[in-house]
This record gives sequence, C-alpha cells and structure tokens, in this order.
Amino acid sequence: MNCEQFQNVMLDLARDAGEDGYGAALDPATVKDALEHTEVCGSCDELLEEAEAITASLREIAVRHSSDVAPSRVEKALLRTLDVRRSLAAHTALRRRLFIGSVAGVAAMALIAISLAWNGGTASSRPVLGQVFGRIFEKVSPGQSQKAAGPEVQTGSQALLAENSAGDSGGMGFGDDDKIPNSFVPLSQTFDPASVDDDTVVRVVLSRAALGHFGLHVDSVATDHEEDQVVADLVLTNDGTPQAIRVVGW
Amino acid sequence: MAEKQTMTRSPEVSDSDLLRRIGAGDQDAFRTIYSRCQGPIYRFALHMTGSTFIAEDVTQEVFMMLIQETSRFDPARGTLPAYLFGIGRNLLLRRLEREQVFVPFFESGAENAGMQRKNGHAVLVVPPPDLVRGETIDRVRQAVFSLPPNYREVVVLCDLQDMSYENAACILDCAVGTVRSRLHRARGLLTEKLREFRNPVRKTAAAGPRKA
Repeated sequence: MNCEQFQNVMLDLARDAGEDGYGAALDPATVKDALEHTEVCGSCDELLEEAEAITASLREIAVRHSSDVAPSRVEKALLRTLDVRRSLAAHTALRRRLFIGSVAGVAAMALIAISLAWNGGTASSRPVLGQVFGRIFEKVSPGQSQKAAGPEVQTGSQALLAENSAGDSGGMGFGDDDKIPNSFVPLSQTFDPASVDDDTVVRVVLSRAALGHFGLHVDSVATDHEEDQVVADLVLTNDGTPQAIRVVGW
Repeated sequence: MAEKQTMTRSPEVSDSDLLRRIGAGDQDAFRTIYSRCQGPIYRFALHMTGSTFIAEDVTQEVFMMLIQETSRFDPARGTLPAYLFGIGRNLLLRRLEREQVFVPFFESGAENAGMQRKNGHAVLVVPPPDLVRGETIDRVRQAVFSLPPNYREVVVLCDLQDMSYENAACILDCAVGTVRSRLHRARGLLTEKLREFRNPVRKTAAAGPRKA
C-alpha cells in the first residue's frame, strides 16, 4: 500500500478504531496493509494518529451529550398545540356540517320558491280553483289548464268549467260544499295524477290568503276573508314539494 | 447505537398510522413519535449550533410542522425520523444563514480553547495538566462549530450521532459517496484546525508585530 492508497482508507480506519482494535468497516487484509504502511511511513502514521485522536474526541463529545434531550416544556407546548388543533378540527367539522345543512336548506327553499314562482306565473292557466271558489279566485283560461293537468284533473276541471260558465258572474259561495271538486289541481308541471296515493296526500288547514302562495290567484273578496280557514289536501313529493291541491272544505 | 435504533420503524404500528392518528389529534400517537425522535433531533441541532436555545426552538418547530402537515410525509421516500431530520436540517441551515451561528476557532472560541488575547494578539495559555483532556475535547468541539455547515452536518450525523452513511445521505438528500467525500474533507479540515491550535506560534506570528 502506498501513501495515496492509505489516505483513501484512512478515514474508515480512523473511524473504525476502538480500544480493542479495528471494527468491521474494512476487511482485515486492508487494515493489515494500512497498518504495515504506517510502520514504514512516518507522515501517514502521524495522519492516522491525528485522525484517531479526533475520532476519540468526537466519541467523547457524543457520549457527553448522549442524554441531552429537549426540555419537557417543548413537549407540553406541542401537546397543547395538538389539543387546540383537535378542538379546532372538531369545531370546523361541526361548522362544515352546519354550513352544508344550511346550504341544503337554502337550496330547498330556493327550489320551493322557484317552483311557487313558476306556478304563480302560470296560475292564469289554471281555471279550476278559480271556478270552484268563484269569488275567491280570479277566473282563468281553461284551455291552458288542460295542458298542465292530467286526465283526472282535466275531467274535474272540465266539470267545474261547465259549472263556472253557468254562473260566471256570481261565482260560488264559500259555503257551497256541494261544489267542491274531488280532483286535484296541479301546482307543478310534473304532477302525475296517477301517482297520487294515500302516502303522498297530506290534509292541511290553511288561511285563504295562503292559497295565493301556491300560485293561485285570490280575488279581493278572498283577501277580505283572508283569515278564514280552508281545509285542503296536498299531494307532496318525497322532498315535501306540493304537487297538487284539492280543497276539501272551508 | 441509540440513533441507529431510532431510525428503525416500530413493528407494531407504522409511521403512517401514527401520523394519521396525530392528524386526528391523538396525543398518545404524538408522544410515541416524539419520544422516539426528539432526542436525536435536539442533539443534531445542539451539535450544529452549540446553542441549547436554538436546539430547543428547532426541535419544537420540527414537531410543530409534523402536527400541522401530517400528510406531507411520504413513506416511499424514507423513514419518518429521516423526514424529521430533513425538516430540522432545513430549519437549521436557514437559521445559520440568518444568524451566522458558528464560532470561529481562533476568534471568539479562543478563550474557551486556551487562547487569550493580550494587546490584540492571540497568546497560548498553558492549561493545568488535569484539564488537558477536557480541553482537547472542547477544542475539537470548537473546531466542529467552525466547519462550514455542509461539512459540519456530516460530522454531526456520522460521527456525533453515529448514523450510517446511508441514513445520512437520506437526510442530506445526496448520494452516499457525497457523504463519504464530505466527511473526508471535514475530517481533513478538523485536523488542520487542531494542528493550528497545537502550533499557536504561527497564528501569533501571523497576527503581526507586537506594539511597544
């Protein structure tokens, strides 16, 4: 081994040096060659001594500081941070759920409002309630109503239309129970009369003025009696949107 | 060695599982990782800077980042301790650059190392014999602090933390050969600095003629 070859292995030799010789970082043959070289080369021997002295000092430093750890206040501070984050995360999750719930609620209300507004816009096409209640509702074009209503409704509408034509100017009285139709008046374009069953019908008591919220036009007389109550059956979809209405009594 | 043990994974619970639990606020999972890694990271910072204050601060920042961004750890890229060392190293390098936290061997460290200044010149003060060994260690320590950071960190990791070249390379994000060559160069620099200390006359002479 020459000086250059020795210096290539000197670092590992010095780092591997221990009180009881050299470890396994280098193969025994290399260690033997290197040590033989130091016997014949004074400068390389001095280099190895210096390197081994540094190794010994570094090991001593490592031992002196081997038990150094971060103070307990660091762990406490970190655990506090973790706790705060956990609380925040829980709070955020709750807020997120509330937000989603609110958005869903607002969306549902918006859909209902849009639905009602749309129905209100086309209420003039529905003659049925107007014909039934005479003075309560404005008279509307029967032809357009038939487009929207299903077969059962059309039948009812046509029957009512005939009655309405007979007493066009006077309309029907509020207590005229005999004139109450037993068919539903559609409030939505998607209403399918065939889909009506007991599960979807809800009986409600409304003020007369509330009928206006279903897109039905209420005349001034009805407005005067707006606190009077009307019993009606509503056909609802799964999400609670009214599809059709049938007045039962007042 | 202790540090080598810290670089192995617990067979019972994977690091990813622990991190997932930490993300959910599990304090026990955090304590598991903290107790395993904080010592080596604290000592790494301490050996790099010589400041317990900075070491404490960096340790806290490392684990704070772990708490805040548990999802950033990618097990495919290395072990969790190596990841944490990597964070610590980046924080330290930034800190060293900002604050210039190192002790020049024959400047401010001279007094600790047995050098004193008289009339602006470095003068060797011969220590009592029983202090020689301890002072030699202090000199080596001062010499380590005076190394440029990229050489200092390999000495700290490989010699003071007894880390394998492979683990050091993972932390330093470089090849194993680079670690070896930097360590070789660092040891050479340490040797030179300690030689300078052993021959202070040269330094005194270099300081210029004494004033009357």
